[in-house]
Amino acid sequence: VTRERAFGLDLDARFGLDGFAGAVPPAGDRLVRLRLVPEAELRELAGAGESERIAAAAGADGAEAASIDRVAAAGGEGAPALGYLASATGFGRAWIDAGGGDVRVAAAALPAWRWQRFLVGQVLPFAAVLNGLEVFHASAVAVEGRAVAVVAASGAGKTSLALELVLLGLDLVDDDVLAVERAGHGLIAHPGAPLANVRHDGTGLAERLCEAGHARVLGSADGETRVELRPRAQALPLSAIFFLRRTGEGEASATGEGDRARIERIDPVDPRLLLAATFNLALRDPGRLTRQLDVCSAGAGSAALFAVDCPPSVDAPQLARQIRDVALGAAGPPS
Amino acid sequence: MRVASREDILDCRAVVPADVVYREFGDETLLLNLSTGNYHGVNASGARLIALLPEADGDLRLAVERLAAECGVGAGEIAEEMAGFCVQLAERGLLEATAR
Repeated sequence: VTRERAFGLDLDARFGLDGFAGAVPPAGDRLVRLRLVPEAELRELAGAGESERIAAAAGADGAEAASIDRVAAAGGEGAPALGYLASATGFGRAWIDAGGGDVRVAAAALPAWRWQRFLVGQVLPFAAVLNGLEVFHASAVAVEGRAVAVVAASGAGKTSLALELVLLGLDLVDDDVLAVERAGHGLIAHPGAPLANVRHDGTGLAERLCEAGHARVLGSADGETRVELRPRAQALPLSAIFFLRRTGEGEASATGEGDRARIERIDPVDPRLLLAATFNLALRDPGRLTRQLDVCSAGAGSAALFAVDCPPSVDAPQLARQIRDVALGAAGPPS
Repeated sequence: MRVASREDILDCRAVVPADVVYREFGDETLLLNLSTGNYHGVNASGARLIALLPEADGDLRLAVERLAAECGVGAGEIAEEMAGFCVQLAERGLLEATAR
C-alpha cells in the first residue's frame, strides 16, 4: 500500500506510484483508493449501466486518443451516475466511481512511469473534481510562500516555463493540472504530483534540471522525458495567474517589444479567461458548475491576473526571469 | 411561459430562479443557468438591479426606482433601458417575472 497526497487528495494505492517520493503526507481527507484491475472488471462495471460519451479528444493523427464515458443507472436522462470510464489509447482505462473515492485502473503493458502519465494527467484530476475541488489547466510554482500559476494552451510552453522557474530556485507546485479550492475570499492551490514531461526541443532542459539537482529522470519516450522533482509539502494560497499567449512574428513587431514578453495586469477581469482555464469541461452537473463559477469568481477577486504576450524571439529562460520578477512583486509579503 | 414585454415587465414581480446562480468578477457579474449550462454577463448596474430585487420584494419598478436613486438619476431616465434588460434576462430563463 502506498499513501501519498496529490491534487488535494489522499491517495491509498495498492501499487507503487512512480515518482511521488512519499514526501507529501496524507492530510486525512478526500481519500481515494487506487487499484490495478483486469480490463474485464472495467467492462463489467461499465456494463452495469448505460454509457454516454461526455468527452473525447483526438490525437495528432486525428484518431481518438482519449475519452470519458459517463455510466448511469438504467432509467434514461437524469439517472444518477454510477461512475466514469476514462480511456487513453496506448495507456489504459480507468473506472472512477461517481463519488471520486474509488479508482480502478486497467493499465497498458508499459513501465509504470509511462502508463501513470494517464493516471496523473487525467484520472486523478477528474477524481479531484468529483471530490469537490476545481482544476485549472495550469502549471504552478511557489513564490514567497504563495502559488503562482501559468495558464496556456497545450503546447504553448507551460511546462518549460515552470521548469525554467524551478531552475531559478522556485519550487514546482504542479505541472499542467492545478487543483484549487475556495478558502475564505481566495483560493488554495494543492500540489500535484512532483512530475513533469519535458519535450526534447534541443534546450537540454531535462539535463539542466538534473545537473542542478532539481530532478531525476524516470524515463524517456515519444520525444519526451519524464522527470521527478522535489515535491512541495503543503497547499498554498494562489496569488497570481499568468495567461500566456505565444504571439506571431508580425504581432511581436507590432508591440515594439521583440526582445521581451509584454506582461500586463488584466483589469477589468474577463470571466471567460478563468472559466476557459478550468481543466474539466465534461462534468456539468449543477453542483460542479456552481463550484466552478464560485472558484473562478474567487480567483478573479483575490489573485493578480496578468496577460503575457510572448514573441518567438523570447526563449523560456528569459520569459521565466520576467515572470519571476513580476510574480515577486505580486506575491506581497512572504506567506 | 410567456415572457412579459418591455411595456409591462416593470409591473411584474420578479425573482431570480433557483437554478440560476451569479457571482461577481470585478465590475462584471456572471449569471449561470444551471439547467442549460449557459452563462450571461451583466454590468455593474444590471447586477445591482438583480441584487436589489429581494430587498424590493420582487417589485421590479421599486427596484428600478432604488437603483435610479443610488445612481442619482430619475427613475424615468433608466426605466426603459432596465425594462429591456429584464426582458432579455427573462427570455434567457435568468429571471422569472409574473404579473402582480
